[in-house]
Amino acid sequence: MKKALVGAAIVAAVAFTGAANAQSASATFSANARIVTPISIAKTADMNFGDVVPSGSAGTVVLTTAGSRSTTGGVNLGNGFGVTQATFTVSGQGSSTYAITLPGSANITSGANTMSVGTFTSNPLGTGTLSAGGSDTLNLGATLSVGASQATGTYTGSFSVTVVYN
Amino acid sequence: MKTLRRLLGAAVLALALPGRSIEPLPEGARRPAVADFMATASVVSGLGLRKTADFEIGAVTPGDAAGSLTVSPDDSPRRAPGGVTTAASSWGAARFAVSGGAAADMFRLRVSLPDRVVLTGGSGGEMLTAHAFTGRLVENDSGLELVVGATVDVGAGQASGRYTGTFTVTVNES
Amino acid sequence: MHGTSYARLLAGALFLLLPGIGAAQISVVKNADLAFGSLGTSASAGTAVLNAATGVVTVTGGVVNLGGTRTAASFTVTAPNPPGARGYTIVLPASATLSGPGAATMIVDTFTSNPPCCAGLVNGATRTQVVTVGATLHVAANQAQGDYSGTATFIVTRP
Repeated sequence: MKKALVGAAIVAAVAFTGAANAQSASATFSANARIVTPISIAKTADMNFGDVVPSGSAGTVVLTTAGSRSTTGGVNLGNGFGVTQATFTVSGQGSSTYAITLPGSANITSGANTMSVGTFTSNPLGTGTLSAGGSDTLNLGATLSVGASQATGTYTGSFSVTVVYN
Repeated sequence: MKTLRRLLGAAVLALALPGRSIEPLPEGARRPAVADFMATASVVSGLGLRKTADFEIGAVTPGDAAGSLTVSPDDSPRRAPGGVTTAASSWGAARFAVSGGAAADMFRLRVSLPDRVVLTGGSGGEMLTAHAFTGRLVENDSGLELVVGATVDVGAGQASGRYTGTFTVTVNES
Repeated sequence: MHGTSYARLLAGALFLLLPGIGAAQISVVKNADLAFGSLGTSASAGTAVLNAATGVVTVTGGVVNLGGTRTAASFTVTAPNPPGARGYTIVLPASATLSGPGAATMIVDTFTSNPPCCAGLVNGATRTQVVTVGATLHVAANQAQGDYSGTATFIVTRP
């Protein structure tokens, strides 16, 4: 009787071990990613100085970032039709700050005639901050240099402004 | 007991983690974006006039008696005293865009208008006279504008048809 | 004499039994979570694929690779003791959902492993093997900006 009991115990032990061998183990892990909206800039209005009237001595027309004009030297202001600062919408990661690079001086031309546009200003100036929703408005002004007997005509030229995350 | 302590430790860690990352943007995000724009300026020398609308007296029905038809430069309706009747049609004062003068100079501009202008047409060679030209300088958001009205005399039984003529206006700084 | 043989036999059976409980388990611990790093969006959808072997992220479609911390998930699989059959099977998740700001989500699928799914072989000397896991992240056009996170389970089994 004792023999039978011991034999049974051994068999039971082997069977138990066999079942424990079909096993799995697991570990939980997390996966994460950060989505960033790249910065972008879109023009909403070109810069327009309107009509300017030379008067025999050189001068400048200053266009502010708010679109108002003033003069220095001998140039007079003509019609203000369509006068506007250049405006842009900057878009990107909410609440991020960005650096603004303004263009340098360059000529606007009417046929073979030229005038220089330079001393660009902006609002914001230097650094801007995107709203929590990820946008901002950028305004550009500049100074136009008009010669003493600048030839009449419509003068145009192309410029560019750059923005980048800080 | 050991297992329970481990679980509690993990739970505490989870609560302490911030819900929103405050790390700065990665270097790769510092890619610049560029926008091009135009700058435009119109150089005008002295004053300039650019017609934007011809003077149009519109259609009239002549009557048995002579009369006249007036278009005023202030957008008021046509006046037709006398023997003519206005007929439905498009009509309007002449309009000119004035360029080259600063807004303040508007009050120092002298406008020169014609005295009388003959319009010809009708059935052929018929004539009408336009006179009593009146001008008005208007400053608005678009700029400085010169609006010119006049009166046209219509004879009794005036021959029907279209009558046209040309005239010149001048502005000077006084 | 009879009594002695029975006692020895019983002791032998007990010896076999003790190691079977607990120590016969395969086990796995996590070393690192799966991180895709920072990705830039655009008006076009795309993917970011994290290579299980190299931990490098490559992008397709309108997704921009912006850097940041990128890691393949990493696990150490430990063989049962004694090291008899050292082979095991890797079971990767079918997909996972990452939750971001508001109700924004992104799907992670096409999980891969190194060694490749689904055969693993524990080193006889160390009784361990490190398994790294990569996957593909699906980014929608104009995906909402912010931090996204989700969980998944890495499973190993042996017969």
